[in-house]
Amino acid sequence: MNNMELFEAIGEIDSDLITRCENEVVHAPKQTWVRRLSVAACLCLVMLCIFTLPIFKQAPNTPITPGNNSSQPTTPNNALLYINQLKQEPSFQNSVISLNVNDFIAMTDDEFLKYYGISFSINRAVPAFELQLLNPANNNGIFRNSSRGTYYDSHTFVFANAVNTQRLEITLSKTAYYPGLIIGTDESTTQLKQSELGGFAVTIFQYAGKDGSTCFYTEFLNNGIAYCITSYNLSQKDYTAALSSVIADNVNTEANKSGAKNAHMVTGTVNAVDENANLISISVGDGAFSTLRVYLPDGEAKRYSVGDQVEVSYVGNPITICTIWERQLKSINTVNG
Amino acid sequence: MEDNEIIEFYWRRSEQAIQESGSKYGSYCLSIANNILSNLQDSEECVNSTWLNAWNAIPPQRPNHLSAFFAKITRNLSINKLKARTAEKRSGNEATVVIDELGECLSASDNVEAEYQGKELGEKISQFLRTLSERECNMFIRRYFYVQPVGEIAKHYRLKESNVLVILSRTRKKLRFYLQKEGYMA
Repeated sequence: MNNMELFEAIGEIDSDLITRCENEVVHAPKQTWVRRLSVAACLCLVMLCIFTLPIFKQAPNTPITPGNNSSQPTTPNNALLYINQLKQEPSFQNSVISLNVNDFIAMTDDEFLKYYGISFSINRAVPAFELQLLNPANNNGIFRNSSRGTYYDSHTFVFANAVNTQRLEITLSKTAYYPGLIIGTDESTTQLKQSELGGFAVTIFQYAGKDGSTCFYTEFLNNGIAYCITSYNLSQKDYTAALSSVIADNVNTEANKSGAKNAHMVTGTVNAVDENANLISISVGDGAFSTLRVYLPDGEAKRYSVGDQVEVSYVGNPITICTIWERQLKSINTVNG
Repeated sequence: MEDNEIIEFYWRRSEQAIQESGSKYGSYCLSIANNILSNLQDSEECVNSTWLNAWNAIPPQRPNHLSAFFAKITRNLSINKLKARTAEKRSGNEATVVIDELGECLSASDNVEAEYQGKELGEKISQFLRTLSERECNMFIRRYFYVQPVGEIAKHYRLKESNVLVILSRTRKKLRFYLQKEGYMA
């Protein structure tokens, strides 16, 4: 028997197995970190890697103008809007953080709001939306001990309409948090474009959900808090309104007044290299969010080793993203030779 | 249209059978063929031949799983076309990678001629697949029956590609042991 014969014989497997495979339903992962964590009886897990292969491809960036035939973005209400189209629903990174169940401190939504020092007035922007009550079974809370301090504090606030057909999820964290969006870099040299809402730079993605619904996603950092804001079945207008409301209520726009379209430089130490993903990770030294992921042109990741000091020049605001996509990258140089 | 209605058209020798098959299963079969051949024109030819083969097979057959019935025909036709093509030149497409991966299920000495019936081996592989978890089984079928790229499978299961590769590698190893036990390999 040779490989081809085995391959052919696989074509003779029972039809019911093929039909079962065709009809397989893969259940969507639960949306919040804490929900995932609550399932685990023992929360002593191992920190895995921060890298995941980028498996999604980006379509060329499209400014949202009528007919998409203009190079100018729209500018409604103090907003400069660009929507980066994703061809497919993105996947989100699974970083697993070592947690100890003895360190768990339960918290309510109000307590979380105080903890982050933020507030929301989403229902002024989208009147149909109400903050959804926490499911007590989900054991929402943070993880803290004397030696590590607060080492896990991610929490998701869910806003939805009365019939739960439209939803906005805002996941926040003050501790080390790797933004979850996995995105490919190989299709276009067009720069990933950032929008400005209320003078604050954000990168907005749009994609079609599993049921064909329109979804938007944004991630940014401000005042030491990571925001990941995902909508399901919300119009662009409502998503922008909700996002603008979050920014107006909470974001210090002075922190990134340098603008999304400017070039910036960051220096850091390479702490991981993933040649398959054309990706390196660099420690930039200060603050809770001290790691930046940098996507490189094909084949270039192998030029770097852990410990190298690099200077990265890129377009986009350094405090609004934890990821520098290849499209944003202008240059990268090893400083220590 | 329900599958049994399509089968009825075949039995009545109505050409609507082919129209309805194409309309319901055309893109499904095209994706199978294209996974193997990576060539749209060749794939379309295989899909068209699929309906002709089905026309010749039904009657007397009355498939219980029409989609799987078409899938198998398309797959076989595509493999035949691939063989003809690779006889001229090694193509290096997804199917070639899949076929190479399957080599891990065989020992070096198995690349000698061995008498076996494809159908009988297919039954054995089915028996083996039934020993796996449903997810492992489906992942194997996606990779080695449908010839889906690993990235696509990873996306389907929301796994990393590396996880999928590990699961497939373990399954291949299990298959190898199973085939040895069943006397298909030395």
